[in-house]
Amino acid sequence: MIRRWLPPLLVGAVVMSPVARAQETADEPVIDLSPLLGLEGVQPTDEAEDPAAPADEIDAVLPDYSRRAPGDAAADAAAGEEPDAAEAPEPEPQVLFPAVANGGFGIQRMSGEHARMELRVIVPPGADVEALTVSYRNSINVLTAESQITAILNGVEIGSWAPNAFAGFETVSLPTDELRSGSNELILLGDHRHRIFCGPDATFEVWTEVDTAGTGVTLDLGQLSAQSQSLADTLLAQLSSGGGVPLVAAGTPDPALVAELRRRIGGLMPGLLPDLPVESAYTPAGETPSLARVAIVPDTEGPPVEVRRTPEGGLVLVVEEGAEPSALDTFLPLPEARTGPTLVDPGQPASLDDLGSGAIEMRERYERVDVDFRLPRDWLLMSSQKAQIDLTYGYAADLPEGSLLLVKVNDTTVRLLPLFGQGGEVLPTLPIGFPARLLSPGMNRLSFEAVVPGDPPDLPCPPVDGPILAISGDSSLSVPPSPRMRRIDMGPTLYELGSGTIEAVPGVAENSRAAAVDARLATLATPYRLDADAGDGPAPSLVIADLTRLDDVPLGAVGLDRMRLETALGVARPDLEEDIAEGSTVWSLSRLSDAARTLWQRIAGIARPGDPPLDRWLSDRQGTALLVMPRPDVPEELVLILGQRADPATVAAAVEKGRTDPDGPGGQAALLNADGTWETWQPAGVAPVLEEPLTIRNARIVAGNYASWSPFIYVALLTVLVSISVLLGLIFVVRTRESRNR
Amino acid sequence: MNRRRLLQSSFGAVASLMAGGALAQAGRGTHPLTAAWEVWKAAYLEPDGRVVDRLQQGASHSESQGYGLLLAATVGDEAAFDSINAWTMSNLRMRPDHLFAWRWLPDSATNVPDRNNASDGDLFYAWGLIRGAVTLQRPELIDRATDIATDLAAACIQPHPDGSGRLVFTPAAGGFQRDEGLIVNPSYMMPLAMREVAASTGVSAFARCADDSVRIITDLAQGGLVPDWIELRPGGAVPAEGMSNENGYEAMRVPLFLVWSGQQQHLAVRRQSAAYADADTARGATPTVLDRGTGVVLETSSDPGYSALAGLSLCVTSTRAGALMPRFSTRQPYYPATLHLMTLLAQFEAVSRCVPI
Repeated sequence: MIRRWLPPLLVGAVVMSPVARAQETADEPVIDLSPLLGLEGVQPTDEAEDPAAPADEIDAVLPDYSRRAPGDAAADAAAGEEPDAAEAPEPEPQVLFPAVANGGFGIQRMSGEHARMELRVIVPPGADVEALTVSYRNSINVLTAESQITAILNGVEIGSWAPNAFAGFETVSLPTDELRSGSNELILLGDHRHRIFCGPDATFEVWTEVDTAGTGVTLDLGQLSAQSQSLADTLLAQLSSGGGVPLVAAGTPDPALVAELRRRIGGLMPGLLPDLPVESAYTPAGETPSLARVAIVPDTEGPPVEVRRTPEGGLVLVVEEGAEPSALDTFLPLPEARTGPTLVDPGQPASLDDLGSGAIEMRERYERVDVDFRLPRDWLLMSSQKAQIDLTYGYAADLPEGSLLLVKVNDTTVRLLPLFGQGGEVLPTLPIGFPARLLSPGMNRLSFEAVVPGDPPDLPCPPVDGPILAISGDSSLSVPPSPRMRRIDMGPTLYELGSGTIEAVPGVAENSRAAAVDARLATLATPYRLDADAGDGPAPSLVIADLTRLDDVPLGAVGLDRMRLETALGVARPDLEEDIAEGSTVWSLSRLSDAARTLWQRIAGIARPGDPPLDRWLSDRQGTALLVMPRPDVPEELVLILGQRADPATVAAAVEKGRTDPDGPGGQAALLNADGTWETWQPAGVAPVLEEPLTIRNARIVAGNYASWSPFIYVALLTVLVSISVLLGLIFVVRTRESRNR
Repeated sequence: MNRRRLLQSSFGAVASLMAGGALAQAGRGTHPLTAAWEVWKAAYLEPDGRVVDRLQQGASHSESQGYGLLLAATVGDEAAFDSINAWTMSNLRMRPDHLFAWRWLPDSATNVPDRNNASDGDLFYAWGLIRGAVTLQRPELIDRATDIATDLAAACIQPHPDGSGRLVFTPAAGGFQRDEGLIVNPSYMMPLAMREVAASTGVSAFARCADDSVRIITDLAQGGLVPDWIELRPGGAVPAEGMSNENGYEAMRVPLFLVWSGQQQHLAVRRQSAAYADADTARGATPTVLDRGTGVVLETSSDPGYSALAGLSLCVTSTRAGALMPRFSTRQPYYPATLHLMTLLAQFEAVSRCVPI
């Protein structure tokens, strides 16, 4: 019976089935399935009359699948034959090794008529470079016909082109003959002409942007070796691509190990705070596989640290959880300390050569050159002492009337010099005196700003060979010495921060802002080289907290009201605002009390100059983060409190920049504004501290500092002294008269 | 012991069995594979709960439904679990027993032209129900798993033809019997699933079958790489006529399931690992079909799922930590993508040393 119904059913299933027909007529994956019969307990669907027929009597085919993907080249080629897939290996995928810009990664801009950008092009050891490319775009104001970009590789000009990438980034291929293994210096010179105008405004309007992620060398991924130098190069390339280097782990890795890795990887790009996120090992693939990453794995008896190739062809630094930091040295040596701005020795002239800038040449219609330097942390002059700049300079002949050079100290213009009338020669050294109180302990900035109008301004600038302005490297700055005095200032602590610890407050969530800022700032742990005046005390530390963890940071000594702080850092307080609004409409005793308090505060403000209490100072400010020195007597401890709108990358970058910026955080607290600038809170009533004995020699300067700090108190003190003197004099006169009368 | 008490005790047993893996993780919060699962779900799971294998005419199989159910249960995705379950019950529950028809075709006049089952699909489905009972806190699912396990054992567990008394897990309720032996697919033998099903449902045949499956695969590995299909005869194993005797897309699951089952040093795993290590293929090309005897690579694929399989095998047979497994991606067909996800799951549950790097 079975044999009677089996053939028609097989025919029906295999021949009549649309699926089967498709399999026969098209070269598609075949699913060879004939209906199976004889299943115990299964009701037949068609003519089957005896579904319980023994299986061994049925010539049936088991469920089978075609798993092979059509289009798999190696598989297709191999199908039906006996080939060895290894005989025709596929070429290794080619990847771009992004160049590294000195200014950072991602899109970098060079603007002005004579712009310049320096890049590092890294060729891993043993790699054959297929191509060297630059990805760029221009502002629409650039006049292509009279503009040019020149590429200089290792000192040799290798190509130039007329910039015409106005619609978007375009790629230019350059010859690779001059490339060598390791680091190569690629300089791009942008000779820009404005289409219409000439002048300071036009200078800003002509620019070329270079995308580092699309600039660099193309090479076979397979040529990367697992050498330590290859790893460093590949990590650098990955960072320059802007994608960050993920630290991959299955669980929550040891924070100390993560911090160590971040410190070392961040040292490859000091100060640029690359993104080094901790990622789950099970995170799905992104759009672009990373060239390099770090994996933290459980301990084994194998090497604690090694470099391996990822399945995608990149490199992965495999680090066992228990690896000692020293085990990383071979692949990721500890970064060397950075050289910060030069420390000026007060009393000794410091030339521009000494300050590291050397001679300055300006070629743009508007150009500003900043020369940063530092003064000792215990240098303090607040009264009328004079500092001096001895400027030796010259400017081009025939500059139009109205051309100016502004000399600035910490953004205050101390001299405005005309750049017309005496051009074409080096002028006699010009002494420029300025109040020494414009300078601060710690970071300072000397700026030269040239402004040259167009002549005429409504036509493109004529080509200019040579600089518009030159300042000799012999030009010098003289800062008078001061007694060793200090004010409250977190600047030095911030500068030395790299040698200490940076960590999020314990217990903070892994995905919190505090953790994210911590991750970024861990990379700035590349310290600046410390000076002899660096403190011998405890290493500086920075604790990062957000508003949810305020209870875990010691803020009591600062006198911060939590509600005020939350409001200043972005927490909406409608109730508070309503209360204030309602209160403003009611004339009450409390309002009188407020007015009296305000009056008293103003009087007190005259006596004790400086900012009002921090609570009140914050009450009319809004920011994204607050940097605080909670205890002035422990200046090495800083706390960073993040607001609700704080972007981790922006905050981290602001903190890093603030370490060497004269406008960076100072005083006892500093509020980070949304635009990335800092406002410093200097507490009132905290007088400068003299850190050396008061002598006849320094008494005048010390008295001047105190008088400048608080004229009211100084006058009051003098009044008291005078009164005592008068009183003593009177007593003396009265007593001597009495004795004479006797 | 009545049925309910048996189920309750089974529930506790399987919960403790799984405590070191998925369940413990689920209890702590988000499963580490949740992100990958979400990507998988978006690519291969229809809103109605149908897992689609587009490469095979957009078909769905009891196997893919079982895989999907297991994964959903493991990561604790109750909505996906319920949708897969509902679709499977509505569309593949075509048999009078509790097993599922093995395939559903979307464009066929009859969506289910064949009511035979596929034993691995049923096994994974039962396993998925058991995991769901624990992770989703729904003990009643054990009842259904027990029904499936009971019927599956009755239909697909047979004595070995060699008379040794060992049990063989046959690939379907019908069609496996040959004149001289039984056709089997070694990759259908998933010891861990069998053990957890046995512990949870009380169908003890699966516990024995798990042990015997490991032994049968050991025997097969003595002769080289484990084949896709084999015929077991009284005198030994011989190639199954008309079926693949290569180590291919079926057999590649054998080392995965053994590793998952705690058999990291099994001969089959070591042989497969050695074959991967010896394969001189271009970077990015993973062997997918190898000659069983010589290990010569017959086909390769660039799909990362196969690379993950190889990476896990290579890691477990080495002493190093970290497996060269690519990140999960759906830029590959359903089958390698699902193997990819299961490979990551197997690593997470069974070999913490081999974390993907």
